[in-house]
Amino acid sequence: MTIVVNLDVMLAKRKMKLQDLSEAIDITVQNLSILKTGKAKAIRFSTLDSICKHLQCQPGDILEFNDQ
Amino acid sequence: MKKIKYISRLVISVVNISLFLFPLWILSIWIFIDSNFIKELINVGVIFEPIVNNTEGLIELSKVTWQVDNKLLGMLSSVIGVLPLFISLFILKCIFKNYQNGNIFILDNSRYYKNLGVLFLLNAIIARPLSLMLIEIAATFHNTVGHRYLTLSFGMPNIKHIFIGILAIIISWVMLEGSKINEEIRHTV
Repeated sequence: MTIVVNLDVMLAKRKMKLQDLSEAIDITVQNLSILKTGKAKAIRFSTLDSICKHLQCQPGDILEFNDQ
Repeated sequence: MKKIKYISRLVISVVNISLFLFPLWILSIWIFIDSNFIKELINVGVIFEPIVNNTEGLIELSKVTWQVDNKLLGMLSSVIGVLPLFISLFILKCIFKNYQNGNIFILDNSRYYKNLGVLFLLNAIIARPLSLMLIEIAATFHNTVGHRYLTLSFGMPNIKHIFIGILAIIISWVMLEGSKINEEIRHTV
């Protein structure tokens, strides 16, 4: 997959744990873990909106295109 | 989902009973084939088709003299005839175990349906003709020399099973596509 998810990078920058993010945006830790480990096949705009709102970042900070 | 789990439990129970009874049934038919009860069952077509058609005419299986050697051949014919069905019961059990666990559109189930389809095809192309051939050999085994027959036939009942087999394979392909969609949904955050 050429889309890389940098959720762990953003969580480290904001000094936040996955558990805290999951409680804040009401998505299970399991689902966020699927996203974090790059196993997700799709992400809803509503999920991306919630993550960016809570981590105060842009979608490009979370998702990166890497063709290597 | 509750209903699926309940029905799956029922089906698994029926399959388990069938897996136990089938071999017993075949064994008891051939042990007691000379009894009037089994001959009556043969005549009404409950066990197998009562008449074998060969070049000399019709052979009524209930009137054949069964001895150890042709009984064994007959048993082999029955075993080969029901073997695809027997294996398909195992496969059905696996499918319904998955249904019982709530796993419906998964890769394993589509593979099982494909295997069922292939079994139907093998039944039509190999098992049925071979089984019929063996029963005819068994029925004419003690005939005088020159009146013992071995024929291989292929007809409408086989075509029916081929059609069902192809249908099952197509259904398995649909299940495979369904499992891919299910996988995507499961991995959508």
